[in-house]
Amino acid sequence: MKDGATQRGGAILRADATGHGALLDRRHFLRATGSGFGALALGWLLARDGRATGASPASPYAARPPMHLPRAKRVIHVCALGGVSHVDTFDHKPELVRRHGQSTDLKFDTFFAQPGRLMKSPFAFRQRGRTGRWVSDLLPHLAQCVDDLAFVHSMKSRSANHTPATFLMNSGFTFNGFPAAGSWVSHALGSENEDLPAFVVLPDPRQMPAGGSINWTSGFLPGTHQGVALRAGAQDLIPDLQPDASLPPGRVGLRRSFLEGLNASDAALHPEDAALATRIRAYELAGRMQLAVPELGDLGREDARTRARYGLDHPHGATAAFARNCLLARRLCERGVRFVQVLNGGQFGQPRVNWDGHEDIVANHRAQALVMDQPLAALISDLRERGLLDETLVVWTTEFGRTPITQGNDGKGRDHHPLAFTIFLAGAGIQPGATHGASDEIGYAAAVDPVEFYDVHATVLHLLGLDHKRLTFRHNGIDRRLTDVHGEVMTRILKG
Amino acid sequence: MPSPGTHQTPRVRTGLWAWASIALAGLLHLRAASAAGPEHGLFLPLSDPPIPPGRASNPVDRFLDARRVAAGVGTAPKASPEAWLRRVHLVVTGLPPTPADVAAASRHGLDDAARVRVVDRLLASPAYGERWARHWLDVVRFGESQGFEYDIIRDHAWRYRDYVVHALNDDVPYGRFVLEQIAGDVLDDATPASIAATGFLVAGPWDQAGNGSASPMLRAQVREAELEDIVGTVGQTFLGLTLNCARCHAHKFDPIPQADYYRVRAVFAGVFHGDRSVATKAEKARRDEAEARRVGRLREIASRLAQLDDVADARQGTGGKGLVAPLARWSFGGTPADGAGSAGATEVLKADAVGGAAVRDGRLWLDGKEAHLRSAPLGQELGDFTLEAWVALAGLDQRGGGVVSVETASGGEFDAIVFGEQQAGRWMAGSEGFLRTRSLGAPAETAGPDEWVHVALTRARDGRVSLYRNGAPWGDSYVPDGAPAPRYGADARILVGKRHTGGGNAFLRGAVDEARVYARALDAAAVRRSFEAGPDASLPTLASREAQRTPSERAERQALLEEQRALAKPPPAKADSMAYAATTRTPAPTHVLARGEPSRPGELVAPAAPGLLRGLPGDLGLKPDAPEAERRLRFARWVASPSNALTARVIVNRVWHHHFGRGLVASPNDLGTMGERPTHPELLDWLARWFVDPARGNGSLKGLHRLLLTTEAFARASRPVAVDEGAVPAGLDPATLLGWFPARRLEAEVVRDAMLAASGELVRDMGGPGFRAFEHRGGGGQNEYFAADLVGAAYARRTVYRTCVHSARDPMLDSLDCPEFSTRTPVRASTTTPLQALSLMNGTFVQRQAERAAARATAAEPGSRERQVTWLWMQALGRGPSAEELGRALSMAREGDLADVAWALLNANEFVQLR
Repeated sequence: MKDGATQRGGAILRADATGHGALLDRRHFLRATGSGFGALALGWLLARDGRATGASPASPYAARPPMHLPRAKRVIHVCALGGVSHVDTFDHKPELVRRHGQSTDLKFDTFFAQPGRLMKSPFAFRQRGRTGRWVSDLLPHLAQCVDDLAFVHSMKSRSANHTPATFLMNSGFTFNGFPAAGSWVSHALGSENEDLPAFVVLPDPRQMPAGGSINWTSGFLPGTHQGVALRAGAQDLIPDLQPDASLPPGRVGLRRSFLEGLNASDAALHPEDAALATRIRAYELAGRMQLAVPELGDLGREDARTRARYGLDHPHGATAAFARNCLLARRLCERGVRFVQVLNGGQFGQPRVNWDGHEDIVANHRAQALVMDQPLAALISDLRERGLLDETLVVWTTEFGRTPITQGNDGKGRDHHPLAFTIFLAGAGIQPGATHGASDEIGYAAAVDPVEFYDVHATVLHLLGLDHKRLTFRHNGIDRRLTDVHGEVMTRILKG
Repeated sequence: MPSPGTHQTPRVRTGLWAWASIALAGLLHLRAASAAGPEHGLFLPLSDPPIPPGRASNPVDRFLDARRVAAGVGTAPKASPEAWLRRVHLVVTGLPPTPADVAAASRHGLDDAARVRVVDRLLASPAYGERWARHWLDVVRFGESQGFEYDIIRDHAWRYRDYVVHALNDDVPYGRFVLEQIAGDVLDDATPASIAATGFLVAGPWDQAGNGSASPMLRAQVREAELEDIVGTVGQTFLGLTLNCARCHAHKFDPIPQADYYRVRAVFAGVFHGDRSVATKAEKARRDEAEARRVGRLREIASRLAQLDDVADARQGTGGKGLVAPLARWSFGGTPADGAGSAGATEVLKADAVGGAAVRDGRLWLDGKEAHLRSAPLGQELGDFTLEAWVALAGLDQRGGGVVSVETASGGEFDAIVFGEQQAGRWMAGSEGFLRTRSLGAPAETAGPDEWVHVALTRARDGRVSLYRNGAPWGDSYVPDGAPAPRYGADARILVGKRHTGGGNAFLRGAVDEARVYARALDAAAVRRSFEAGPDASLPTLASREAQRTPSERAERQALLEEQRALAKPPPAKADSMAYAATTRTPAPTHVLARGEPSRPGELVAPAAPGLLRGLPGDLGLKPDAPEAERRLRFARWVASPSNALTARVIVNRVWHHHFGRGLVASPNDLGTMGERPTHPELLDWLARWFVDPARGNGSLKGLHRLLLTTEAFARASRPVAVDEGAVPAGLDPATLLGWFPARRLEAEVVRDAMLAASGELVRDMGGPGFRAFEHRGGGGQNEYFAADLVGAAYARRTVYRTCVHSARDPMLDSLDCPEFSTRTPVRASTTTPLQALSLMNGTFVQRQAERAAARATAAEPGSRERQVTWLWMQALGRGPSAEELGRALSMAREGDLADVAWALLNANEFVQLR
């Protein structure tokens, strides 16, 4: 098997450096030669792909079949950046109240190495919903969604440093340049909507994340699968979506038809050029995208109740902007986009625009919760009410938790804590109200059934109908996987 | 790389059958075929295959023909002169031929001799190095920023890019090219370029936050990842080996035990990321020597000047006592404001008694609160000096007051005689941040409140600090290490009674009878004489000293002073040229790490090369604690050795890949067991042998290019021919037999450069810092980059000069498959997406180039729309338009604008294809 070949479903597909080329080329040949050609081999492959009838090359985003029956059609991944404190949100620790102010001999893997004293959560915890899950008063809206959620309380990370931990969360590796989970999913499954990219990213309008677009790179996978970041606030969500406004519309049409003529005469001279058919198709799809994207971004048709529920007109600008992204995420899902990543939080500096509460956990986490809580809760309940939650997997993660001790003896903040933290999943294939694992009595270590992002990725792929061990891509002699050499599906939180 | 379908002629049924069976066989059997085991052919020494018999004059064609004919695959006709011209220009230089070149080729044709001339001309053009450097930069994951969270730009990383461009243009022999990139900083004949070449080792990302973490474990993990990046890149780039697969366990497919990974890791264990000077050792030695001469001469001058002063002083009445004229002296006989305020009337330096300081009874009275004396600016520089006073302390429990001080204008730097500051009850030399303050090991002061104490502080030219009490050395003198002592300029001032401006507890409580400043460091004897002469001694003055000089002394002194002034400032610090390149430290021992975890060290290993090559042992004769330079030198020589079969195979295969679109081994970074099988194993070895043979290729990449570019295979049309399926071996893609030239999509850089060439905007400035086609927000630890289509000559350079910032991606170039900078990319992907189409259709960059290309065509062919259209066609597609195309274009230009024609040409499939 050569570089760029992908093993899926037990068969080896001959891909080439174009990555998506295998399917396109086969389809091209079918079109070019009729059904009598290469009957057995190609017929079998195309039948397996279920795409033997198309008359032109598929969109590079065209849907591709999974390996097994999927529970989820698509994913919304919400990343709360900076490190959300588990012991102040979803991981209730009464023992911390009792031991508040005490020092501890435990060894911490923090960033600043200034261990302080144990600190109880400054936020009151209550049991919520039918399932009685504990959620602090920090997140009153999400607290109302707990019956939809499955919590993982035994997460661990491999770095106490933001960017490697964020890379690990997104790509399964702590180093730059590995494909994001969304790229893997795009590569494996394409999209259900050929007019939109399969992997769409909604960065926090306040700021790009640390590492910027490195977070949604397709790495060594073909560039088709790179995350497409929708631009907040810009006239067009996608750059270069529309022709220069100064160009008379008549000339736009003339240009397009002249170009089509050029390519057509080239096709007549070079019938062997498969790239040509693909290019002609890409220009057609671009035309459709020019219609699909503005329609996607037109939130004007959302009713007043929806606008209010997400907080589209929230007096706090950052909240309103995040609400807009959450609503866009739902709309992307409705349109069949495969993987949507919504970022909550930016990078560093003062004042902080992410969950990195080193100095003061109360001030920091309150400010961030004000942005995230209502829109995210609205997204989950809206998806549920529209029946989309049954086929959409929602994953909420943060790169690591925060220490149960203060940063510095007199500190009010908490440092990074990769040894234990909490994430949640909801929707397609997830058992509402389930939990996986537990941290110890003070939230220091992932004590019961520890898991890592490899396991989260394995679970996400599993629900999408993909086996994380068989989804590989040969790059420079290595069969790369999203889960590297790790990963177990977290069956405890799956529906039976 | 072309897709298999690219090379088919759909109308030929038999050919397609052949393709289908090959494809299927390939699909099902590739894995089995790769199980070659430890005797993997490419780990063996180069074989010496005979050149097959045949008609072709170029041996490469003979090998190709033999295999092609055996497979029953025919050949396409020769490409048209125009098609060949565009192809060879784009392959060699990445720039299209000019319309004039195209027109000439079209009119006169190109015979073989003319084609060779074109090849030679293109290989000699600087554009060749720019084009092929980009191929190399892909392989070595060249980035110009740190990546990770800060993603700070490496301002000096471009030097490595320039190194590659120049090395290729200069046709540096490949072995030397290898040596320079692995060990160019430690070669005996290192040059600035070879030092910059080690930018190769550190072109990958660097985790600044992780490296700066307070957690040692986190730092160790970060360092292991850094070294894996270096080892992986070295292995894949030069050897086609995925050594990095053996970091956590033995390589699963190639015979690379885990210890071999750590042996290579040990080779690079002393290499760190960073900016460094590219000055060579010889240059540095020359510079150091010149500096030593300058400093030495300054010392001689100062010493001779002091001698001249002594001679003059000796002629004065007081000179017999060996007393020295001070720069300033306050005896407090009058009021300080009148200048010297001295009974002895020596030197005048205006000073103000401030903060309640009183001059009474020939003394300066200090209350320890605010009272002190502050002089006017010195009016001359002070190098070495002596501070001296007779003082009575009002209490031995006071802390931090200064007796006599010299300070810079701001008070930020100072030297002072201080009492009880760092050590209670003791005299010390005070300085900013205690930089030149050391414990003297002298006893505590015992003098009562009415007892006069003589104190003196000297700082000699070598920085030595000495303190004296009552004429005798007080404790140990010392030369403070660390930062150089301040030079006190003409704006420096003297303080009496105050340590320095801006410090707390600065004031002395007591009285001062006499305070002096000398512009030289008095030696112990002179201090003793001064103490013995007492505070009221009559001293030589500067004026009286001048009077004692002979004319010749005066002339000599004048000349010395001028020379001193000229030498005083170091030669304008010709800032070293910097490069982001390997910086080195003494390597820590390397242990095999269980599962690659720094927390689980095992066996200690010595630096060595991998041991999997038959006939070339990996042992480099190094001990585990071998010197850093020796490690990389020996390893580099091992890699560059002509008997290293992998090195030779890897490079000829890479070159082949970029000529024909696919390597003889289709996985250029992995020639190991998991890599592709060579399509022409004999040809691969013959080429490798030819390349390293001093009598033939001699490591010349240009020679290798010439050999390949003058093949018949390179000259064929790109139209596939019918294939007889029965004859083609299973698993073989007939396109790899090169019966026709395989078409492929041009790289992003070539597309952008060709657009700039069409518009005439292309700026051909070579080298230097790259252009930054993005908006940068933030700075320091917070950087956001936003791609922007910036207009201007600076941004119209070839794309290879774009600054490669990890998080500053360009949507158009990305859509054309520019690789992720941190990913080793020996083979570019080639995708076609709606985003690419949008970018090419609507991007402002393309709009602008289309408009300017149209304007340029109009200027080039005034008066004839037909010739303008033809000009555009030749510029964009390297051929003239057909009659039908011309007709349609003319009507298009009538209805719309010539820019619309140009726009369509820049969007045409033919424009982005290499055929």
